[in-house]
Amino acid sequence: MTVSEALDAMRSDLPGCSLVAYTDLSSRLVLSTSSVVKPMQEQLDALSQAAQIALDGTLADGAAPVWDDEAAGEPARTALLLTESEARVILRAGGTSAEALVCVCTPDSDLAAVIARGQAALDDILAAA
Amino acid sequence: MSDFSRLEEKLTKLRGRERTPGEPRKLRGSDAAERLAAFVTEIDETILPRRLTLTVDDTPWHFAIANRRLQALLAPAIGDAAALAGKPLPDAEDPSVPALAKVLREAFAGAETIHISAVRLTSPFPSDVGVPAPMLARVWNVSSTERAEVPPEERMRSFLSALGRDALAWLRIDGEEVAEQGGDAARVGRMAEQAAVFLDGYFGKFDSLFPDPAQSCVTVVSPGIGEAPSVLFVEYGEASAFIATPTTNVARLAMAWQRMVTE
Repeated sequence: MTVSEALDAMRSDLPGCSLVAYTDLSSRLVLSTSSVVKPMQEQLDALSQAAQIALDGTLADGAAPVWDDEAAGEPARTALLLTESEARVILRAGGTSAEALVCVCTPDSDLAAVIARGQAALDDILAAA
Repeated sequence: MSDFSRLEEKLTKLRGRERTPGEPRKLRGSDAAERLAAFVTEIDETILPRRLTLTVDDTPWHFAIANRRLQALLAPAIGDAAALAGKPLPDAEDPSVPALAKVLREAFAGAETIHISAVRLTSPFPSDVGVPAPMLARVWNVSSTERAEVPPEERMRSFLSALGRDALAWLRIDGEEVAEQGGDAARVGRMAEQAAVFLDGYFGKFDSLFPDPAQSCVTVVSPGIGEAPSVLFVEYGEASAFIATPTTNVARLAMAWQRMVTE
């Protein structure tokens, strides 16, 4: 399964999901997307920047002291950014990978389902790599 | 100096940086009538002169509001509204008052989102010019201008008190003050410093994390490991809370708060 196919399959499985992007956190480049409407480049840039801040940037650095011994030294792997109008779910692609999946969905989405489906999509992507 | 004084000092600084005049928020209501009623409520709550902007999808509508009165639609305006712009509303009997309601209903009816923001205005009109909100509600035939909303701090207290063992520890923040704390005492003792560090990054990168004008309400950062603590930061208006919770709970709690503030 290609990255593009994995993203398409994820989006079609999640009601209310409008965009799934696979992004490189270090370069902040979106590598692949699946979307209802072709996204503007500015939107993709903003998504990858938020993902970098949340998983590898100041937000992750600020959260790490709360994690205790159980996860000490581990990177941030999941971030949720919710507003009144949308939910963004950001998932690191396993271990300390510099790649991540970003899913944009409606604010009333089942976030646990989005996270579970996103991790399954990442498994498909990593298995195909 | 209390345990939280350093966090509170930081919050004062950071909140000042976060909030800028005219910060938009969403206008309530799912149809044109409810949105018009919410707009009248905003007018009813505005005493000092303000330039109030409704951004209907991507189109801005500007109004002069003062002394709980709608004084005028301000230029620039488009379509049928252009003829109404810049003219003060002398009283409720003026034909431009129902005409304005008509164009607003049309604009609100098809809109996906409406955001509202207000900035100070040196009003070009005397303070007794304009139509008072209660009279506007009657002429525009909107049901009520009463705000039935639960205050943000009450929602937050209710949410936190229901957390029980779902949270390891939490700090409730009203504006720049830590108003309440809960959970494991040793963890609470460490949380003020942890919250200060987290919020420094949060507010410092706020515009990049939330580039669209919708109000942020939940931020989660997690190591994604079973019961390991994750950070859940929830907010609504001036009320916010910094929460440490097992990773397994974050999605459920984030959804619960999301429902609470958008219902």
